[in-house]
Amino acid sequence: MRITAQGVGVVGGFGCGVGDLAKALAAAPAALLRADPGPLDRFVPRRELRRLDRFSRMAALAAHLALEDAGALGDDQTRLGVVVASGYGATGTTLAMIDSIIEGGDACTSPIHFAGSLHNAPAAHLSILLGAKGPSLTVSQFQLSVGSALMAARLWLDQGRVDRVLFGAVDECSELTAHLWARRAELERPLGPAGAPCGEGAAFLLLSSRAEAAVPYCTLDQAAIGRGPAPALPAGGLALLCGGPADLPGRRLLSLVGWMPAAPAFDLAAAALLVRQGAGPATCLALTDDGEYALARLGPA
Amino acid sequence: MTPGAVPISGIGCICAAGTALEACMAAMFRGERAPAPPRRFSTSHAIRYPVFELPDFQEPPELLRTAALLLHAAREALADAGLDPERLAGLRAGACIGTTVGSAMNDEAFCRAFRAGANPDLGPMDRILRSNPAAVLARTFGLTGPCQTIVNACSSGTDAVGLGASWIEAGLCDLVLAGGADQLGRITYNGFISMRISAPGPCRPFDRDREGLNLGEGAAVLVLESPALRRRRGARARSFVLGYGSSCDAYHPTAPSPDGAGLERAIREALGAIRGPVAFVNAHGTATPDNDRVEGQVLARTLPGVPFLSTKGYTGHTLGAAGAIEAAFTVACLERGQIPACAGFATADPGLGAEPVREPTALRGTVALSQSLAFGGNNAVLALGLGERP
Repeated sequence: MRITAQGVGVVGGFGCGVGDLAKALAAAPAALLRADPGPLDRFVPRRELRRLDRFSRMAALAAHLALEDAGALGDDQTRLGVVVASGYGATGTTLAMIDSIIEGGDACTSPIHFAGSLHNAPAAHLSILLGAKGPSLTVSQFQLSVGSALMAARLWLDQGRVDRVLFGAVDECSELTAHLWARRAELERPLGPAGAPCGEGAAFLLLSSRAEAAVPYCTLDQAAIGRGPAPALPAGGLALLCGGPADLPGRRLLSLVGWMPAAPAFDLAAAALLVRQGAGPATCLALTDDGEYALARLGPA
Repeated sequence: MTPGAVPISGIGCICAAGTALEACMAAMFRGERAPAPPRRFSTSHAIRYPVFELPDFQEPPELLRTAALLLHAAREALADAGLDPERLAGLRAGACIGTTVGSAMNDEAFCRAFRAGANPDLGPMDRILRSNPAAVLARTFGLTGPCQTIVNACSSGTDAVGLGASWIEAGLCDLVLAGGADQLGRITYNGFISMRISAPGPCRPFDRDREGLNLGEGAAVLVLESPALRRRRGARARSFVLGYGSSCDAYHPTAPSPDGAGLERAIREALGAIRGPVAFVNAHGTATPDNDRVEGQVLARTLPGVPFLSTKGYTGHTLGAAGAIEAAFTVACLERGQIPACAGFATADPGLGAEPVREPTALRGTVALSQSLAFGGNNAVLALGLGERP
């Protein structure tokens, strides 16, 4: 089945939207750590925004940007599937919930923060905001989260469960994550590549199996995950890498977005953009220290 | 999705009802249940909300309790399927596991020390990073295929079995360890109390006077095999995954849509082209006012007269494990040809239009549904069919 990427939405330390991503890819600036979900108020009334924590806001912003980029923001989303990946979940809200226990005792546990700490909170908010009533899935398995989610999105489209999937990933550099990041680095057991900054942000793609009127970014030809020897990178073409040996030939976006488990979703977004710009087919490969891999191949549309 | 009958060749289960599937079934048919205040942790709530705990289960220090429960269930499932764990590495095998807390960075002691300005030992957080449920199975058994940890709140276990079956159907794997696992702890306990959906006494699913849920803990794993591998091994199919459906209410972050339309869509998708009577429904039945009202009304509307029950009266609500545990029970009930009474139910709620079974009930039919509703508005339903007799 032909599956295409129709829209791309991103928010990270480099900025917000495909335009900022394109500029960052061209200029390769040093990563800023914090993402600004402020522009979400362009899509969601401020009154409704109160329900969303920062983590969900980043996801909602990138998702809306992807739909807008695809010209699909006003479409009927009743049959839209939603697939979200996160390595660590809403760590800021998780810490806030524990703060409520520390400060007020067990009886003062915050129900708002408890509900927001669930990993699937961003997917829930997205479905509500968009009226997306198709299947909804959130996966979390640290560095393999994005590859796993992409495989699920592709399978839903292949099986005809839905004909559009809003797929994406989000992670935040909360106080807790930043502390873990720094401590592990001090102990020379870094959570990500040595020396990489702790990043945050969200990257979403609208994937479709429909005959869409809009010109797509690229096709999604393969999405696979597994454990064992890493798949060979094709000779020639574009390769975007996350994790693995530093001498593997390919481009790494650490300097743009920092490192986070959701980082491979930025590779996919960048690859889609670069394929549309004529870079030829692209391979995105994420490798973990545990011998797991996630592979995606994108082709010119 | 309507997979073409994915065989289930082995099942393992651990929860407060028992530490193996047959022990759970025997306890349920004896009508045993023993919710009690938590013994493994303490809180300062004025009411000691009961839970369904496994006080004698001890996890190893290097793993989260969730992962240890999962491994316990997986080993039972593999033995039941007649599979040597050492041989899994030679197969195209994957793991698809649901959880809610199994990948949450929420170690309370660590966070307290962090807030106190200390540089706490990273051990607890390292343990979380080592304990991602699907990854633990992949690492322990040398699985080389896809590995996915689903965090769809309380429908995670049902989704994991349904999606695992779809991997077999799509030819991605020859074998999938599919299931769910979750542990009890202070964070979850406090969280549900804060949402005012925990019952001060034993839970009463679908009862007019229900007051909320009791939390539980546990795990279940189902061995899903491709028909080709099963034939090659000569393994018996205890059951078949005949269908899976899921939907989102898109209504509220933590409350089900009052019209139940999302659950209806998931039921329809799971039933797909299945014809013939549904023998029973293993309902989500948390015993919260909202869940049971919506679910009862949907069952009255879509499957009138079909017997249903909630097994949470025996196990508590095991969150991300619930869907897998209940799928395991559903298969075991189909094999026995009967379902136990809906424990805790006594008085019909006239607002539901249906009531669960009051006593062990003989089944008519060979297809059953196991369904889950979740925070986030997720609905997930499995259609399971009776397998081959031993």
